[in-house]
Amino acid sequence: MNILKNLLWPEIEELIDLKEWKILKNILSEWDIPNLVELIKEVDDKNKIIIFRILPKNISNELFSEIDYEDQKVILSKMTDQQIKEILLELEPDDRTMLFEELPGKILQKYLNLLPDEERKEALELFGYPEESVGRLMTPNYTAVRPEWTIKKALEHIKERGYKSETINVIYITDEKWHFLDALELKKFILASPELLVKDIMDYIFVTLSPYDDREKAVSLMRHYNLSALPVVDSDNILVGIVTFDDVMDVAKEEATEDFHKTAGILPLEENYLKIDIRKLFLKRIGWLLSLVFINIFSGAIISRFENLIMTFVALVFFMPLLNDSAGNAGSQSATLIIRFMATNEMKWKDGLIILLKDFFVAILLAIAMGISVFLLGMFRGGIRVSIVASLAMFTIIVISSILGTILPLILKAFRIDPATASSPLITSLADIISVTVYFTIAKIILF
Amino acid sequence: MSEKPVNFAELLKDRRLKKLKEEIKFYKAPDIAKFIEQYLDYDSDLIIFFNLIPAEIISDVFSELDIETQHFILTEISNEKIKDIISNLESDDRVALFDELPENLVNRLLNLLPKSKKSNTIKLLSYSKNSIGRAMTTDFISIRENWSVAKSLNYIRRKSSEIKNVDIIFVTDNQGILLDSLDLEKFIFEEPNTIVKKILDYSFIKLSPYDKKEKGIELINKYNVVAIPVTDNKNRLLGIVTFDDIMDIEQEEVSRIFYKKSAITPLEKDYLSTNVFYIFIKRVPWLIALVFVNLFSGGIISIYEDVIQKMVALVFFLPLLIASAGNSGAQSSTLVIRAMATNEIELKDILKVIIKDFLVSLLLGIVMGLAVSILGFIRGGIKIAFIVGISMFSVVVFGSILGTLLPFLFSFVRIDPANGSSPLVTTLADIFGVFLYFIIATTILKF
Repeated sequence: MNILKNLLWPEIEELIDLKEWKILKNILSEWDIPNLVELIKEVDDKNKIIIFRILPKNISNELFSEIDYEDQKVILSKMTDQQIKEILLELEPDDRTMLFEELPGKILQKYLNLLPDEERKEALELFGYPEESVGRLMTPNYTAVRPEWTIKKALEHIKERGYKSETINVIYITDEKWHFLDALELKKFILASPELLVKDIMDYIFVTLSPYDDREKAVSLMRHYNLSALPVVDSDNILVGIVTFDDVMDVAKEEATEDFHKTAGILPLEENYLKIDIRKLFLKRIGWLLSLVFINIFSGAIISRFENLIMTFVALVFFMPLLNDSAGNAGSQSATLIIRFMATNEMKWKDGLIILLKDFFVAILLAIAMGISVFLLGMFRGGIRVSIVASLAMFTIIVISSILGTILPLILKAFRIDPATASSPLITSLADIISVTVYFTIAKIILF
Repeated sequence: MSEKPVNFAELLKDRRLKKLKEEIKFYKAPDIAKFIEQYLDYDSDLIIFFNLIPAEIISDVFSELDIETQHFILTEISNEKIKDIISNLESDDRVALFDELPENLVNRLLNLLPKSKKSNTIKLLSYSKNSIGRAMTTDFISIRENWSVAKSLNYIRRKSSEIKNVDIIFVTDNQGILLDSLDLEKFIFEEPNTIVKKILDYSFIKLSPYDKKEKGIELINKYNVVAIPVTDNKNRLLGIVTFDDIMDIEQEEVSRIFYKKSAITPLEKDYLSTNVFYIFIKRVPWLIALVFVNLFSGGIISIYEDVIQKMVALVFFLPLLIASAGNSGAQSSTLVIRAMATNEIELKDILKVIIKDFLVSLLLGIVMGLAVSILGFIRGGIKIAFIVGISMFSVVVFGSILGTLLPFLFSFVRIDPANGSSPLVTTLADIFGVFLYFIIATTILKF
C-alpha cells in the first residue's frame, strides 16, 4: 500500500498545487479508507482540510472516525458549527467518546452543545465510566429482538434496524424492559425456519461484560471465546451496549505496547512514536532513570565499605561489571517470563508458587553454568583465588536475582500494582545492590 | 452463565454421569476445555468425561485443548471417535495438531481422514511454519456471481451445518477465481431475487499463502474485517484467515518479542507446562555469550588499574554509570522495536528517529549528569563530581544512540530487530561506558 502512496504522491501534490480539485476528488474517491487515513497522516494541516473537504460526504464521514485524534482536532477546528455537528453525529458513539476524551474542556463543552439532547446524554453517559473501562469502549448501537417474536419478524426487524448497528453478526435477545436474555449469531436466524419463535432457538449460553470491567477483560474474553462481539450489561442485567472485535483488537495492541514500554521503565507514550514531541518523550523516560540513580546510591555505599579490600585486590573490580550485568540479565529474564505469563493467563496463587519453585531450579542450573564460565575466565585474569571468588559470587548472585525477578512481580500483584512495573531497569538496579554485596563479602571471607 | 464449571469435578467423582452430561450442555467449548486442562489428570476419568461431551461441540472442545491432552486423548479413544473429531476440526486446527504429534501417529490419523481432507491436510502442512498458509482454514462458503440472493441463502443454509465461518461469503467464478467478499448481512438486506453480481463492488483485500503471518495481523488491524481471503497467484481462492486466529497469532507474536527482548529464546508452550531443563536451555545461551562479551569491560578496567588505586572512589560510581548507560539504551531499543512491530516506523525513518532520540538523550544526559555530580560531590569532592557528571552525560547519550541503532541494524541485515534486545544493549553499553568513564577520569585527574 505504501508503494501506491509513494507512486501517486507527487501527482497528488501537483494536483493540490494546481488546485485541480475535481480531478483530485475523482482520484481520491476511488481510494479505500485505510489508504486515505495514511494520506491524511502524511500531508500538512492545510492539505488535510482540503482533502477532507473535497471527498464525498459518505467517504469523509467514515474517514473521520478512522484518523488520529490530532488530525480530527485539526479538521474540526476549520469547520462551521453545522459541519461539526454533522460529523459528530455520523461517528459511532464509542468513537465519539474517544475523540471527546482527547479534547480540551472548553472545546468539549462547545461540541457537546452542538449535539441533540439524546446524543449528548449518550456521550455524557459513556463519559461517566472510568478510563480504560469497557464502558468507554462500548457502543449502544446493537440490534436486539424479543424471545416471543417469530424468526420471520426478527429478521424483518434486523433488516430494518441493522444498518444502524455496528455489527449484526451477533443479535441480542432482551425482554421489553431491555433485560439481557441471550446472544445468538446472525446465522442461527438465517438457518432457522421462519415460523419458529426466537425463544425456540435460544441456547442461554453467553458471556457478558460489565461497563465497569477493565477493557483488558474484553480482550481476554474475546480471545477465549473467539467471539466477534460481546454484550455489556449493567448491574440490573440491562443490555447497555456491545463491544466489537475491531475496537478490542486496538485495545490489545495498545496494552501490549504499554507493557513493552513498562519493561524498559518508560511511561506509556499514548502517541505515535514519530509524532510525540521531544519534551514529552523526555518526561516519559527520565522518571525511572533518575529514581534508579538514587537506588544505585546503595551499591556505591556498599562498595565504599570495602575500600581496603579493593585497594589490595584491584583485580576484583575487573569482574564487577560482569557480575552486575549477569545478575540484572538473569533477573529480567525471570521477570519477563512471569510478567508475560500473568498478562496472558489468569494466574492463581498456586501457579505463582509453582513458577517460583521452577524458577529456583532453573536458576540453580543457570548459576552452575555461569559459575563455571566465570571460573575459566578468572583463571586468565586474576589467578585461582580471584577466580574462585568470582565464580562463587556468580553462582550466588544468579540464584538470588532470578528469584528476585520472579518474586517482585508477584509482590506487586499482591498489592494490586501492575506487575509490569517490575521493569528491567528496576530489577537491574536491585540486582546491582545484591551483586556488589555478595561479591565483596565473599571476597573478604576468602581473600583475608 | 458461570464461567467455572467446577461442579463437573464432583459429578464426575460421584459418577453421576447422566446429570453431568446434562450440565455440560450449558457451557461453551473453551470453558469445557479449560476445565479438562485444569481439573483432570491423564487417566480414565478424563476419557470418561471427554466421551460425555455432545457431538456438536466435541471437535471445538478438542481443538481448544493443549497438545499433551490432545495426544493423550487420541491414544485412548476409539478410532471411530477419532475419525469424527479430526474430520470436523477446522483445517488450520487440524494442521496445527498434526504438526505437534509424532510422525507414526500422524500417519495413522491421516488414514482415518476422508480422501479430500487427507490431501488438503498434506497440502497445508507443506507451507512453512510462519506463513499464512498455516493459519488459514479451507472451510469457507463460496457462491457464484450469477446466483440470486435467495439461491445463495439456500446454499449457505445447507452448507452451514459443516462450515462455521459464514460471517463472510466469498464470490468466485467457475474456475474458483475470487471476485469479491460479502458480509453475510448483505444477503438479508437485499431482495431475494436480486442477482449476486449486482451487489458486488469487486473491492477486497487478500493474502497469499506464502505471506508472513504478521501480514495477516497488519491487514486485519488496518481494515477491521472479520476474515481475509487467501488466494494463489492466479487469484484462486484457497482459504480464509479469521480474526480469532489472528488474535492468537498476535498474542504469540507479542510474547515472542517480549522473550527476545530479555534474551530468552521464545518458549513454544505455556510457561507452566514447560519443564525446568527446557527453560534453562532457552535462557542460558545468551547469558553465557554475554559473559564473554563482558570480558572486554573487565579488560578495559584492568588497563586503568593504577587510576583506580589512586582514586578508589571511582569504583563506587562504576555500577551506577554502567547501569544508567544500559537503562537508557534499553529504553531506546524498546521504543524502536515496538514502533517497528506496530509499523509506526520503517527502515527509511532511521534518520528522523536517530535525531529525535539524540535530542531526547541530550536532555536525559544533562539531568542525569547533574544528579550524579551532586552525589559525586558529597562522596568525593569537586573533581569526582566533574568526572562522574561528565561521564554520566556521555554514557547516557551513547547508550541511547546504541539502543536506537541496533534494532535498525538488525532489521537492515534482515535479522529480527527484537534481537537488539536489552541484555545485548546493556552489555555493549557497559563496555563503552567503562571505557568512556576511565578516559574522562584520567583526563580530568591530570588537571
